[in-house]
Amino acid sequence: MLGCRKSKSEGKMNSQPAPSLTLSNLDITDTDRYIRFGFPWEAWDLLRQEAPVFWYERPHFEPFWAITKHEDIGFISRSPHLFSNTQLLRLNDTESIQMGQRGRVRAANRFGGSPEDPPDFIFLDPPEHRQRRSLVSKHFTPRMMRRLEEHFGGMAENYVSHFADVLAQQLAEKGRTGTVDVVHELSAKLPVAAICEMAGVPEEDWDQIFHWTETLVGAADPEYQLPGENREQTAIRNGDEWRRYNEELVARRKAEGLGDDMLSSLLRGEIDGEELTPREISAYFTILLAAGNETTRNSITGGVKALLDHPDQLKRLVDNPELVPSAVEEILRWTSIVIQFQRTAMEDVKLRGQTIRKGESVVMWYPSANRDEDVFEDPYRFDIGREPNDHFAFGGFGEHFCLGANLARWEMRAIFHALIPVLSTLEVASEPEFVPRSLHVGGIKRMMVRAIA
Amino acid sequence: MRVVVDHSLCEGHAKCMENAPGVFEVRDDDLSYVLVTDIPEEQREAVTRAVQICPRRAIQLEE
Repeated sequence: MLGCRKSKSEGKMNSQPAPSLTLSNLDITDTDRYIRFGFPWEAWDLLRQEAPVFWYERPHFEPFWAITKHEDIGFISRSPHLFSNTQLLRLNDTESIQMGQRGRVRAANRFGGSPEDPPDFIFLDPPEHRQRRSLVSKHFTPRMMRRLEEHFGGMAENYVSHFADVLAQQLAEKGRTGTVDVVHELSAKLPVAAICEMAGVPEEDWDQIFHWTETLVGAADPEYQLPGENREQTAIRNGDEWRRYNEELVARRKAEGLGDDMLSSLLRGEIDGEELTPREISAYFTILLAAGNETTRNSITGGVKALLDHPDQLKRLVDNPELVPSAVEEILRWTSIVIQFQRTAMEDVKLRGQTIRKGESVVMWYPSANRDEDVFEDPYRFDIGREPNDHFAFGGFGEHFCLGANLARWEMRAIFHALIPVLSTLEVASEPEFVPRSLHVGGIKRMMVRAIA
Repeated sequence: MRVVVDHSLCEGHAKCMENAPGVFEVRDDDLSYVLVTDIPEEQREAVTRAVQICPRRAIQLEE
């Protein structure tokens, strides 16, 4: 699922339940369908072909313009003066929005300020957004990545060798019934380690950080809830634990002296001569750690699945390891882990004959852009040598382009390079399991593989 | 044809320099600098591509 299809026609055979899909019955917001059938590729295809700027009205959602063409998502992304981040950022059902509003009230009560304050800096437009983003952007440049290359490369090899050991052990003990979870034994490790190290989180806390970020996204899943908790209670408890940890870490860093990590950059940072508030630091730190591990983790898992589903492409990679960088770009396009972000029109805007009125919301569907036949030749073919490959896996370019893109690319290259000898000995034992109620990131909880030595 | 880089957006992703190395140079301050005042004919395609693939859309062409 999640783009991990061999071909469009094959995907069509067993994915969509509705025999004839129309603009009036298609659904791109029902997360239960995402879990059962994977991403709604056929619905996005239809939207691109028949209604690329589509007024989408369904129960449990405020109406919005569904934007599905690569070109239009590019235009909106580079026009922050026309399309603002300050109102709504991620499409959510009305229940989740109400939960979010109660969260804003709690944050205001705890930290001071108003529930109307932006929850984090992604909810800002230029020039305020640029000022805050630049506090840590220097940590993510290609120049910085080159400095970390050798160190993180060694870590990647260690994690892959751990994964290979676990596989071999399962094979020795249980034969064909021995299976290993790619998510927890491989994909999760480097992203957490790399972002925590850059952020200045001590190694003994990495497992805990991973658990908090997992729960942040998976609060609707009973697997992450304590007995008797509902989704909101889990989210509140998790948020409180995380905030307390963050406050302790800030106090410790201040006492021990600032270093060259990202937390120190935040504590040192000033906007117009003012330090960031505790609420801003807490939110910024949460974004860095959550965005920094969840997306890359899912992309690695999806990439393993994509390569195992396409033995010809896997063989090509084994024979040509120099293709790792372009294979990573294709995995990013193919898996399209981030599903959507939302913007609000600041004035009336004409787009493909439709008038988006001031105040109306637009939702950019990145997986759809990444299958746009006007941009990608044979978009449903997984081709690890694809060139050019102007995918929108890191957003549609511009003001809010993924800050961690270079880090994510670098991590994926290191992992897939180290994985080459292992991948040929693997097969998928069970289809990926998806995190429920997640319309923002296509989260994979588990994906079992086995060694076929 | 002239080309300018908006330094309030540029973050040194260096896609421009990879694509048109004679025209752009990313320096130690993580900002891209334009090396030539007038883009030579044979570099135009590479520069146009650099504009498209700049992750921050920080490069503008001026005819």
